[in-house]
Amino acid sequence: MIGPRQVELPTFLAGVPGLPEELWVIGSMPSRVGVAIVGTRRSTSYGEGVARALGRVVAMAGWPVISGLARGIDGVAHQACVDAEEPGWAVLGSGLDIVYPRQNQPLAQRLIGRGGGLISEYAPGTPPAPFRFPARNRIIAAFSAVVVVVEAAVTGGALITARLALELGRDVLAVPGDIDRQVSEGCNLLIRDGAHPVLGPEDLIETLTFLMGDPPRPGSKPARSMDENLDRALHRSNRPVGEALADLTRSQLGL
Amino acid sequence: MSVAMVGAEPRPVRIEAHVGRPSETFSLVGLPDTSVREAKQRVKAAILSSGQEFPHRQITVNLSPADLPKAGSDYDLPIALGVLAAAKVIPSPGRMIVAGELSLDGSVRRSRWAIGAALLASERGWPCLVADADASTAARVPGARVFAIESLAEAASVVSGSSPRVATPKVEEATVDDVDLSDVRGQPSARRALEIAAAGGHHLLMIGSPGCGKTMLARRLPTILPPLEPDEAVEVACLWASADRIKPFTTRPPFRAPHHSASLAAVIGGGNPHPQPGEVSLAHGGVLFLDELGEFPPHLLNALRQPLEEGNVAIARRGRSVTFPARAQVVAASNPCPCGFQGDRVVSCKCSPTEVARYRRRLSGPFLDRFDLRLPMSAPDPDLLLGPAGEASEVVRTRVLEARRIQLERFSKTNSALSRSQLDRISYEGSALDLIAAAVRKGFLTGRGADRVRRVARTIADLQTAELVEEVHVAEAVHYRGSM
Repeated sequence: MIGPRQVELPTFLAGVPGLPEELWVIGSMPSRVGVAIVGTRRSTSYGEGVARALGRVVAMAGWPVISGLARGIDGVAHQACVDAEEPGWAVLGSGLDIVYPRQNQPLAQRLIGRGGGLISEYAPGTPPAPFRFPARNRIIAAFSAVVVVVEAAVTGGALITARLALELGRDVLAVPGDIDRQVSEGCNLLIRDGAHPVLGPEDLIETLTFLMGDPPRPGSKPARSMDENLDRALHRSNRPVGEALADLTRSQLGL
Repeated sequence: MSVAMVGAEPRPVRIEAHVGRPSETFSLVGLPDTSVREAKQRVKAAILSSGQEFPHRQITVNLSPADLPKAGSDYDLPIALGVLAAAKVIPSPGRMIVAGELSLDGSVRRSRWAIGAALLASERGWPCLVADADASTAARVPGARVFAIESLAEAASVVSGSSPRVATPKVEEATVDDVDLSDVRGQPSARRALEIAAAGGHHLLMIGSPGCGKTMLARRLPTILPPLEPDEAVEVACLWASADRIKPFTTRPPFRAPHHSASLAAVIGGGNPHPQPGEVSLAHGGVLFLDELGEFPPHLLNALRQPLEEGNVAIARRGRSVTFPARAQVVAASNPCPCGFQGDRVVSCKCSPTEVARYRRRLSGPFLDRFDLRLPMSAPDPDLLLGPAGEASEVVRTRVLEARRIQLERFSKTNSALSRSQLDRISYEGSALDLIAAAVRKGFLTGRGADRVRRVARTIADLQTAELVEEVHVAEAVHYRGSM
């Protein structure tokens, strides 16, 4: 890994209050304002499926996908960028030589490899600490015109990111979830308080187009349908199971 | 001659009797244990009850080979015949295998090793005398000539030349299973994986939350496996006999599900001085189901590796070693994490990442490499549960049988046992190899994973009776690579 270097804030962040003057970067900086996809670390497969689908369509539309490289939703959103062979950016709450959680180290490498990067306001050697994460979340919000919260409990970092985004005048979208599930409460609460609900990948692109203008890469490949229960999909497809599973592999391999 | 079991293998035991000068002594030599030594009293009473004179002479009975430890009551009948022959009451029985316990009234009781006796007899082309109750089962041993014996008197008259009652093989009743694959609804991907596992003999690992139907699926694997060949069924019956288990002689593959708290000896086999087969051997020819794989102690899983590779277990005891066959298909089930709910659609996981990592580490390593098929499972969709029943086991079994036939014709073994050089001799459609290469390049597959995919793809192609392994077969096989 090439070591972290210090760069000035990109021009699209000029005038955003409360940001440091310089940031540490490995890889590249996003060239335009992006879309944050964030959520709980204690994700369910529902949330992960949604995060994967949303991350993919946003990345393929050409908007930078920003997240926090945490376990759960953040990591899945990053992975979706990598799988779509698009760049993605992770903002860390530690020095860039310390990737936390360590399991996401390979993912961080792949983000850089695909043309994305790691961003932090902390100098190399700064260990991760709970009090640094809200500041990290502020940078995530700053780099994004829209923050999409996929799954979040009421007491989660994702809701802090949403609040910081609103303070910065960013738009907040939330993915609705079951009302009796703890990790959906935060999202549903945001929707009650006025966040626009995300109804699916296509719906998200439509909303983003309305909020941010046409995607940088319009007419990219049609969005893949959302992950759903595999068996239900197999049942509905009414095709031999083997063939349908083969299709699934091909699409995962991007063939 | 009679029979002793060494491991699950019947060995001949020659019974020699000698009648000497007048005396009341009756000695039994040739490493008999207590149960064999007590034969003296039973034999004496049975001979007297049969209306014969018990010789008032010094009687010596030798069980040869003299250094092989003997156990059990199956030597009663051959010892009695030996004594009668030595006293010149009947001619020498000579070339026949005899096994059975004697009752004091002279009737012949069931023998544990009737199957072993019949197997030995058929190998030598000799007749075999066993109790009435065992005869029709023993007669199912291919090539065995089995005579049914009710009492010592009847045995004596058969030896003297009267025509014996030849036992006819019992026709196996069509087994009515209480489980059937049609019970599995709304899980088409799991059903499909089970069919592939059955067809290619692949070990199968299922990963999913509690209650998603892993055990239910595993129990149904024997219902779609090919029935045991007659000689396999004999081998299985011998194994069960040497484990002192009562099991009707059947061609249905066995299903064993040892608990994760089972001891090493219970799973692998052991015991002194007469080693007994463990669960892995009782599952020989069938299915060994390891539920909650992550809870099994690592040393036990390591100990299982060698038997599963070699197809047998060797247990060394002072001065000798016995071998039990252990060719079982392993089906293992595991939760994705200690609490079981990681990746669940509804319940979120409560485990810390270190807990999950520790759990996964137990599930990794060389033992896991043996599983060609790794199936992520999720709880069935409630809507589909109420839907129509799936295909019945019988229908699936027909396809499995055909796929097995093709495999045995190709390399005389199932696809799960193909060596790397055999894998290299399989022909592929060009794009099929491209897909494997792409999957490896994108980090979907490791080199070892690619071998597994090739084996599974061959089985998928065989299920469709396809000559070439096509791209669609490989693509499906990649789905079962498991992402653990």
